[in-house]
Amino acid sequence: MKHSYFSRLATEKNREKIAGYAFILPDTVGIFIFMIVPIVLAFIVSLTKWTGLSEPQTVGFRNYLTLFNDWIWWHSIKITLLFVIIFVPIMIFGSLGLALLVNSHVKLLKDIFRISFFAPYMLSMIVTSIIWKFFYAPLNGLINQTLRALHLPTFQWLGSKDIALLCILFVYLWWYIGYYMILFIAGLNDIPKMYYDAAAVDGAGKWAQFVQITLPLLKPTMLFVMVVLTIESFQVFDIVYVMTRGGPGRATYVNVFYIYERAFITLKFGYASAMAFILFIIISLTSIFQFKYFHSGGDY
Amino acid sequence: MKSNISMKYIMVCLISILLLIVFVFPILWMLSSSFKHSDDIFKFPPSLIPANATLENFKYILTSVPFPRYMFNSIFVASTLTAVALIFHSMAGFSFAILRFPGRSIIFSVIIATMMIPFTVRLIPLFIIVRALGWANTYFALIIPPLFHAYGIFLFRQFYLTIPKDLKEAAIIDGCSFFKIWIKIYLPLSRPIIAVLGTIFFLVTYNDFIWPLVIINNPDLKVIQVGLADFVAKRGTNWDIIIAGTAFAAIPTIIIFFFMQRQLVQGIKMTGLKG
Repeated sequence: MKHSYFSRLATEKNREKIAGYAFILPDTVGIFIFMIVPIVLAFIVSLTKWTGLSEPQTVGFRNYLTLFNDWIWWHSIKITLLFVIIFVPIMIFGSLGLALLVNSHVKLLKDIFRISFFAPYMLSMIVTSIIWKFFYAPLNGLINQTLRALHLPTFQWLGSKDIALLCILFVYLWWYIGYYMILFIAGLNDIPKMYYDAAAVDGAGKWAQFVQITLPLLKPTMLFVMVVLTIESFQVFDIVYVMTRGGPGRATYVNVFYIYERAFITLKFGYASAMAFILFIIISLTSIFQFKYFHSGGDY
Repeated sequence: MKSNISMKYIMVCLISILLLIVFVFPILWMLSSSFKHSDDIFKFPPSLIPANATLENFKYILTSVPFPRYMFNSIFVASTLTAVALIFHSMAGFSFAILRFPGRSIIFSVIIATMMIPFTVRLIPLFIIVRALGWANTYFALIIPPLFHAYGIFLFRQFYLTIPKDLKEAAIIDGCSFFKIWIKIYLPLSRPIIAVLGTIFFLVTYNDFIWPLVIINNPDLKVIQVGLADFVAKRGTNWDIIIAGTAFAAIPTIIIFFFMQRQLVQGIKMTGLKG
């Protein structure tokens, strides 16, 4: 009797094991083929000279050497870094600001503003880029027409080497800020009300409360937003593709656009893979640095 | 004191309304301009109600350019991907949360770690793999590779962890197979998470650009985002039909925004949780 109970239990355990593997099988195989293999393959391809059609030729690390002597690559890295460095802080504090602004309203208004600020995110980057390309049009675009009506100086916007990148950055901000605002609203709402009540009893003003309660308690959200945003903005592509194609005069020639052109326009798979792999290393190191540097202390 | 506070609040309201215009006006402008004649589009000041509305732009978009075909491709790809992804990820999430088997936590950790891989590094290898599989210029290329992502697996698992374990024990005692436990108990309970993830998967796939751009060059399989970008590149000056095409491409996402907004917001909040 006892024996059969244990053996039933044993087969039960076995059944559970088999079921466990069976249930994860599709996703595990898929993740392996389409997530893990590509990382390895990216490195292998980066060691070859390959048009994607002929036989790949092994060239060792030559692609990487070429890369470091390629001024266009350095330029694209510079543009990308510039984009990330300007974009990420503006986005973090901008979306936090929006979250605070929305939270300062009462119920119905709160919902209306939250929905409105979030609305651009539903559009695709392509749709967004087209709308703004129209607004930026130098001659009869909405922005210049407005400036003209106000007797203010007009600009070339996307046609100007100096500000094209900022124009793109603004559109990216417009599209994406509502997403991070929602994350910050969630973070803000997670802070227990009693902290503020206690601080108010102690006579702390609004600003002191913000600096000493809100900011420290939002740190995990801020860290998360910073890491995700950095990863995303290192890879900005769609918007550049539609709005400027890297121009004018490579003023918006971000790294992923260069990778795309090398791989899929000029069919230099090996070289493009080397670039992609370096970008991967840059992104990973940045994420690790951000976690290490900003995660220290201050947790609640 | 009281008037001081309300002055401040008026400022807050003014800023909010100004921002509201900045965020919403471009969208409304796009929708209304798609009904305008070409010379009215650039009129200043812009109006949100077209003076003499026309359907000509849409007629052109729907008949002279294969936009309906692009739209079909996009919706077909996004819905198929969403359905398959929901099934696979629910299965995996169920297994990782409920079932016990050796290697469970290691496999799960590896899967979660893949979330940190930037898409750009995978782009070229994915292209090579998909071509080697003979999937270039097929729907498979658009549906299968992007389907596998740890995000959905993770969220399904988190969701199932909140369901009391007694349910599983009771079902096992009743002699239920694990497949039955999943499909009869856990899947029906998943409705909220399915709505959230389904909305996000659909939206993200529908709006995706770079992958369909590189992997498809058969015009019959083009998705709407790529079709639209090509169209703009080719017809850069015909703003009336470009805006109509843009509005047309945005329609499904606007519908989702209105009907699934709560789920969308929920999904974004959940991404924050893993931080």
